[in-house]
Amino acid sequence: MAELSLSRRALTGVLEQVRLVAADIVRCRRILSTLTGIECRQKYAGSVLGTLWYPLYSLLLLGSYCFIYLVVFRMKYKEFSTYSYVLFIFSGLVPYLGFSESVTSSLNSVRSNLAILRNSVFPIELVPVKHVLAAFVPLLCSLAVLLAMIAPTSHAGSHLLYLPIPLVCLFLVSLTVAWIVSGIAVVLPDVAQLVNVGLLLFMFISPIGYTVDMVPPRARPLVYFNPMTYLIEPFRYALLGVRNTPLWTDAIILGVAAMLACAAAALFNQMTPVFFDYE
Amino acid sequence: MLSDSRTTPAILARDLTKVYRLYQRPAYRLLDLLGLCPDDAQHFSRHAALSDVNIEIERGQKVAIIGRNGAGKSTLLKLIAGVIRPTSGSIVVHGRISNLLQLGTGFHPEFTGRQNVYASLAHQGIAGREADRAFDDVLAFAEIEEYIDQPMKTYSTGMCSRLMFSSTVVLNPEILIVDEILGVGDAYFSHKSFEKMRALTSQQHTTLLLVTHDIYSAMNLCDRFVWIDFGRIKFDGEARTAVAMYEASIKEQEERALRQRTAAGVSEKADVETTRPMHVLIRSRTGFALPKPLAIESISLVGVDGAASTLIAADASTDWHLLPEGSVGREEIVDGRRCRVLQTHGSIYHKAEWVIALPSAFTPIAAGVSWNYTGAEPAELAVFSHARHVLVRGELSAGSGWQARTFQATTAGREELSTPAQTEYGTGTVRIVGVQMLDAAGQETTRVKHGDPLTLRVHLHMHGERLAPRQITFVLGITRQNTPYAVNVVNHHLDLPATGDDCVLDVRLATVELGSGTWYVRVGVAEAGLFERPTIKYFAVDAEWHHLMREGIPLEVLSIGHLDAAGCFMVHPATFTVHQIEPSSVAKDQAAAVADE
Repeated sequence: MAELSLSRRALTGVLEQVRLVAADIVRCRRILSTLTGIECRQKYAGSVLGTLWYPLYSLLLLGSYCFIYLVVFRMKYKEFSTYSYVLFIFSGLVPYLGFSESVTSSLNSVRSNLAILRNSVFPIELVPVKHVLAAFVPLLCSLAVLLAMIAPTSHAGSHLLYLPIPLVCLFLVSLTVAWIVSGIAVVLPDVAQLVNVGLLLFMFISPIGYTVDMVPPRARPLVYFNPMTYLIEPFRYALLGVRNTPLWTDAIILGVAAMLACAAAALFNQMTPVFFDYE
Repeated sequence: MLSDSRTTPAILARDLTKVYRLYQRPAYRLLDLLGLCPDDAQHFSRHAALSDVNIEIERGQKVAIIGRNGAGKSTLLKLIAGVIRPTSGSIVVHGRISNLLQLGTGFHPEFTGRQNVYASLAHQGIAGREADRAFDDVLAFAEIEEYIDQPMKTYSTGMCSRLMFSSTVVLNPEILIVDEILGVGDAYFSHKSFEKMRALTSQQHTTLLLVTHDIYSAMNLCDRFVWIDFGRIKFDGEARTAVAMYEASIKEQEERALRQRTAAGVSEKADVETTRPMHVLIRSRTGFALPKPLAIESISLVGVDGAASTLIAADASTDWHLLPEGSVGREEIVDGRRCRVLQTHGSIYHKAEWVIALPSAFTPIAAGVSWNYTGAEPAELAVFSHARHVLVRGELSAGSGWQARTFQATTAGREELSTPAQTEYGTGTVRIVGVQMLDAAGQETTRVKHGDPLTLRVHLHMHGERLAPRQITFVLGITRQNTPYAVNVVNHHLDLPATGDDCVLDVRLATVELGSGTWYVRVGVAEAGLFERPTIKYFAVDAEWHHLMREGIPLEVLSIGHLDAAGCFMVHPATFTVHQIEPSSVAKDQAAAVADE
């Protein structure tokens, strides 16, 4: 009985924290959007082209990949043409880079801005949100380039309308990780090193450059246990109409992502008082 | 609701304590966070930055927070600003706080001034059209239009502080916290900031907290001083008392540092195991020079078992080490006896102090002195340990010829040697003996009518023809309580008579143009060209001042009725003439104009 009431209390605690965070987001939505804009401009502040670098960077990044795969390596795999294979890689790579950018940019966001944050009306828990939002700008740019590449091919179709679903999933998961690592990084700056290595490792064990059936059967559980697989596959489906995981997993991943984001928000809010002793 | 916010204090702190844990390694901090770090000195030590601070600040009060580096000033401000949380105690703040705790926080060097201001406003909750309006105000106040679209990294520190100060005050904060920032701007902007803060406090009832080391400027702005030392409030109250106490402590610190050096020299030579340093001090009790020289022939300390250590002042070879910073002259003969003289001039430390390495077992129970002194105010003898605990204390009063007396140990025990708050500043090398105010008829007066002449007759005494400078800086300052000086008359290079010890200086003000009310006149003499050199010293420890009066002489200025300054400082001489225009000539002009048409 005692345990039950304890877990119920924990649940109401979490819900209360989530309500507070949600209220802050609604209350500060204008400031949040202003500061996200500032954050976006800050990335290329001091450069001559400024924010023009967002589409330019996406073009250059994907262009150089195209050059390597189409001209240098001339990669080809089974049912895919070389061009289709490149599109296949991109539809996994682009969301992964978006996730990676969200996590790295929010990693030190709280730690390095504690002095201003404590003294502004801008709630501290919205700082990682701001960074994730800003990191989604280059992601959307790259997606736009990718869509332009897909449009003339046979891969274009009504499945493109499905794109918001994987985007929401990715946003929620990025936010979850951003809240957790930026909070921990205040207390334990060393986490930054782990996160960077972890992101690189995840890139290799996630089905970005390969499909699940390319993986030797013994290693397949690794792919299926990798949560990143379930984030990338919906993108594949939305962009190219192909997928290796069943559609119902998307519903689960969306639900799990939402729950994780709530838990991370609650955790971050719980940690906030500790930040006060760090400078 | 409105009346409620007027009566509740803006800031109320009760038993405020902040203890920092200083970890031996960063990893222990993480362990401690998880509750796994053993509580011992090997892992972390505790540093109480602030202990049991109680403070209540009313709405609209202007408070200066003073104290040396590391005293806990910034910790207090951060607690008030909510940047850190107290370890124990409570702090309640009513009102929106804006702070300028650090220069450059939140400003991105690659952004232009404009972008940074918008970012800063957004952090303070101002966005959209409201931000555009606020931005215009910021720009108007900061006056750096031509640089506003340049990246912030190209700005000078002064320009940065202009922009930061402007973007903070433009929002009319209810509580404004400023940490030592204003010294960065140039004289013009620093004055403008002061006026802005003054306006905010008087018109918007903004509560102001100012941390500063420039106590003299703060006196012009703040009516309340809070002095923090070692994490505790040492004084909380009126500005003048606070400054006097603070200056005394600054002097004490400097003196202690000097004493430390000499004592280190003594203990180097002596055996540390078997001896301990003992200090013997003769000084004036006012912190300023004695009115007459005091001759010292001998001093002896007597221990419990009759053991004694004696100084024959005139003997050069002695194990009593004279501290060099006092104002003791060479050996001479006074009234037929060989002695050394505590001079009335020459150092800001008006004292003679010796350090002796005594055997550890030797505790002085009495001190005998032989002296010769005729000054009106008595000098003071103190024998104290290195930890400044006074063992023997005595009064060396005036008398005819040589006197000798033995003073017994004080029963009070652990009394600590204190530095007196000063009545006057300076070395006394040139001394202001008296100041008279004379009216047009040459009669001494304390009141003067607006527009009348006033002469200040200053009697100066120079100590010895060889020593005294023959050119000085002369300063006359006239002020009201808690306002900047209304009048400063400075002569950077005033020549004194080439011979003689005394002179009279007449400073004639052709007309007194002060507004009616009570004013305070202060006079000071310093080394020639003092104000032409940059200096940041406190008056109390600035050896370039010969003599500066701490208290002003009151001067009553009477209004002549129709002309007054109406709350301002000065009435400019003006004459009023009214010319009447003849109604007939106006009518004629109009008639002529009509005829022309």
